[in-house]
Amino acid sequence: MDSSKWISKKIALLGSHAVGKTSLISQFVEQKFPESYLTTIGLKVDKKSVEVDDYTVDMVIWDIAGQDNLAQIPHYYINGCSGIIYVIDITRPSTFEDLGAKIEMIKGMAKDAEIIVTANKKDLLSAEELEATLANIEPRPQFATSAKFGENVEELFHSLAENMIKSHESQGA
Amino acid sequence: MMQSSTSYDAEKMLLELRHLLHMEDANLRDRLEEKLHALEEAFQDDALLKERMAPYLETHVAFLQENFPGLFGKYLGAAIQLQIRESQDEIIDALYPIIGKLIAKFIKTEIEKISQKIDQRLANPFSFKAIKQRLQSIFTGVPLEEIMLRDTALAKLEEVFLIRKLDGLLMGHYSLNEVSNPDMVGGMLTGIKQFMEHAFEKQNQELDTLTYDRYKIRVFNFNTYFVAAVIEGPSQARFQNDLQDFVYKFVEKYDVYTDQPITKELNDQLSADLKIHFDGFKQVDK
Repeated sequence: MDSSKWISKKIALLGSHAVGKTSLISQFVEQKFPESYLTTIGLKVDKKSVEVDDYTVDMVIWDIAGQDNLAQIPHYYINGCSGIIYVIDITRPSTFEDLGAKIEMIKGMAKDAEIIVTANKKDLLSAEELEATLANIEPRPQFATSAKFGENVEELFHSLAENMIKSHESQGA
Repeated sequence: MMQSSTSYDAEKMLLELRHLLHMEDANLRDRLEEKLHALEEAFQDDALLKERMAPYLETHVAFLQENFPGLFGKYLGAAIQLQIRESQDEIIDALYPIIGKLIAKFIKTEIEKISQKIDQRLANPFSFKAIKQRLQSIFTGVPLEEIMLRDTALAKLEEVFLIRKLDGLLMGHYSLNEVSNPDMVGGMLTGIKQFMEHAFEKQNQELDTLTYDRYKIRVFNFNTYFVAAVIEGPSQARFQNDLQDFVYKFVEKYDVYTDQPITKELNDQLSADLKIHFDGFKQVDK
């Protein structure tokens, strides 16, 4: 492989507390779902490589402790992020209230980052309930995931890697 | 006369009826007495009582075992807290021998390790290092044992991380041993560093040392990146100064550009540079 096409990117997972950020990372990195809930204190960093076309992307994933108020997230944890996954809990409307404003705020904090929104815990709703709930969320999340059963988790991170590569190429790097 | 005979018959019938009713009552009473007696016996007979109660007790004990933390956790916690608060001296007296033994065991193990290292060196008295130590002892007047002890307790440079400040991404890495995931270590180091610097915000001040057990992480800050050096063992001022000189010489000698994407190519190049440079430090250290 051309080692110039092997790149490292920092990504961060944001969202309210207990929406499943750590579980999504655990499922993606280790294919495991932590059965007991342990709140993230401060920060945890993980890493996984993803193959996208002829690129290898080393995703260095910053799991930042959940905050209901985005303004309270330490800005220095988000500095330099190439990708951000904003996680909501599809069963808790409070986690996706004012979603549009929150996304705008994140764009202001991480100007060059690709942002993807995922509605996690889809396994807790029926297909009809999920569709009805998603239809009422503005902007509609690009993904609906289940960290518990691994549904769409790989696709979520892969899609972010693809977006980051497109952005990387468009910058002429 | 007729009236008198009728009255007599009615009275007789009444007596018979009463007798019959009494008999039924008496039978009922007798049966109850028997049952009561059996119950009394059952309660007084320990073996029988145990046998009857055993299944219920087992079920209840299992229930308590399963739900103990939920049922009694808060009472136990409160009781222990109260006990600790009110009987600090007694608790210290009780724990002291155990903690004392642990500390003694730890010290003994550490002394054994040092002793083994010294024995290994004594077993090879004609090695370059042994001859050097003997000569050093003769010329300086410092006892040979002290020189050997000092050399045994020398600090060792274990790893060097070159990290971009903006995003905490690892630009290069040098290690004596294979580390499971230097990218994660680099990220966490950056996170901790950023947290410390913002939590205790002072103008132009940056974190320069982290200590963990026998390890010390020295952080050398530059404009857009930092170098984190992991040192094992007690490092003296001379070691610290030498290390600082080595880091500054690396920065002078090699180009570290932080404004380009971090590729494997760049990482491999900087890691190779770090190896060439800090292998030299290892030799000085020895």
